[in-house]
Amino acid sequence: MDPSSPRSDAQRELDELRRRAYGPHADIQSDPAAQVRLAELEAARTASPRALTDTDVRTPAAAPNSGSVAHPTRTRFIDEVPDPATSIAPVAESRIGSMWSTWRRFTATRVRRYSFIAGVLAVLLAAVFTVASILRPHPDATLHPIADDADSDVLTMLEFLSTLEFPWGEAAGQSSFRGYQQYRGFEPWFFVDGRGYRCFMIIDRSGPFVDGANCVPPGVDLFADVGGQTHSGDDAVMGLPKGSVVRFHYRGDSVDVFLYPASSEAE
Amino acid sequence: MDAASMEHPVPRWSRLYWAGAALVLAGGIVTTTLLLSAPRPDATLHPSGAAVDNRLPELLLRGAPLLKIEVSTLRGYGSYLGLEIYSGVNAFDSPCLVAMHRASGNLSDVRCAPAPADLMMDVASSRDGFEGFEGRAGDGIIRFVLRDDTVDAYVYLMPEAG
Repeated sequence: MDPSSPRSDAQRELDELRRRAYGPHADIQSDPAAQVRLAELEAARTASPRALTDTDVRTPAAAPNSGSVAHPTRTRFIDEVPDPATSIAPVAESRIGSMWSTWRRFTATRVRRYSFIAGVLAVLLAAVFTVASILRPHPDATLHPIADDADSDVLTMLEFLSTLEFPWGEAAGQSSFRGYQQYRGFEPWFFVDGRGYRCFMIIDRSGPFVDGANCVPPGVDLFADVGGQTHSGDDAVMGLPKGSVVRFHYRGDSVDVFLYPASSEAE
Repeated sequence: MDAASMEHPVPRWSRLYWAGAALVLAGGIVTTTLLLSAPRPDATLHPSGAAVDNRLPELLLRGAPLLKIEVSTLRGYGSYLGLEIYSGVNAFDSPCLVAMHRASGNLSDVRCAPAPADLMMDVASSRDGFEGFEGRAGDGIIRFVLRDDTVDAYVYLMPEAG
């Protein structure tokens, strides 16, 4: 052994033992002393990558009468620049070693393991919700409330709807009016009718006209389509081709607008 | 120290298996939550293969001429709570849903919407021609949603007063 290069001796010994343990013709199972020595060297290496015990630099043979197992008693820090000749392990191996060391730090105790798993679950959930929000259709516009009282146009349109043959938006007891910003001249209105239904209608102030009237029981997703219904006009909707639909989705504090242009023109 | 306490390589793979199992479990929880949070239809209607009611083309021509539904594309899904349900395609290549009130022979509702919009049609129990849904007490709506080859029906009734 060359005392001028103690680290290379330890490294060589470790590499040799690793080859015997993990190599293609592993034979360390039949040599308990070698297994113990390998465990010592691995432990010393993991404890501090830049610290080696004296046992690292002196083989058991250097300690006469100590038996085959050396007893590490002191730690010596080595602050040399790694000798290229001793840096035998490839870069990839050192990276794996570093990752393995980090992994062991995260999972060293039961508390850390649970914290690590909880962290992984949190990250996974965040990733799922992020992907879901990216994949979810995004509205072409979001409209905010601007009025809490029905004006004469709104009441006129409600009166007109009440003349239809079904009790749409039953007039008696209408309450909770809420008007939203216009979108291309169309203004969504929400209210609760006399039966407790939550109703939605879209008013075009240029007429005025009303379209998309819809009433649903409480707790049901509420939307109104302009175009695409039995009474829809033959005109283009909001500058879109004939056959297009504009969907107003009631969200409570806002209304989301989705444009669905017709995919082809009728002759 | 004995050989069993050596940490290479078995414990490493063991811990990786645990991590993998945790990820699979988390994925399962998320998927299950998403599936359970989506509303489940009260019924899923399949194409019946039956001939289209011969009153329907005339009803569409009179009741929804502007939607330009092509009669040759109509296909029936049978009857649900007194409503005969059909799908079709109109002159704008948009899918359409049609509900006909079987007892009265009236057109209850018609909706068309270009893809990729979900095609949804709300039919109220108090519409012209009928008093409530057949076989279902109470007032409310049925929301029909066209899927690839089926129609899902969701029944939403008003809560009982008192």
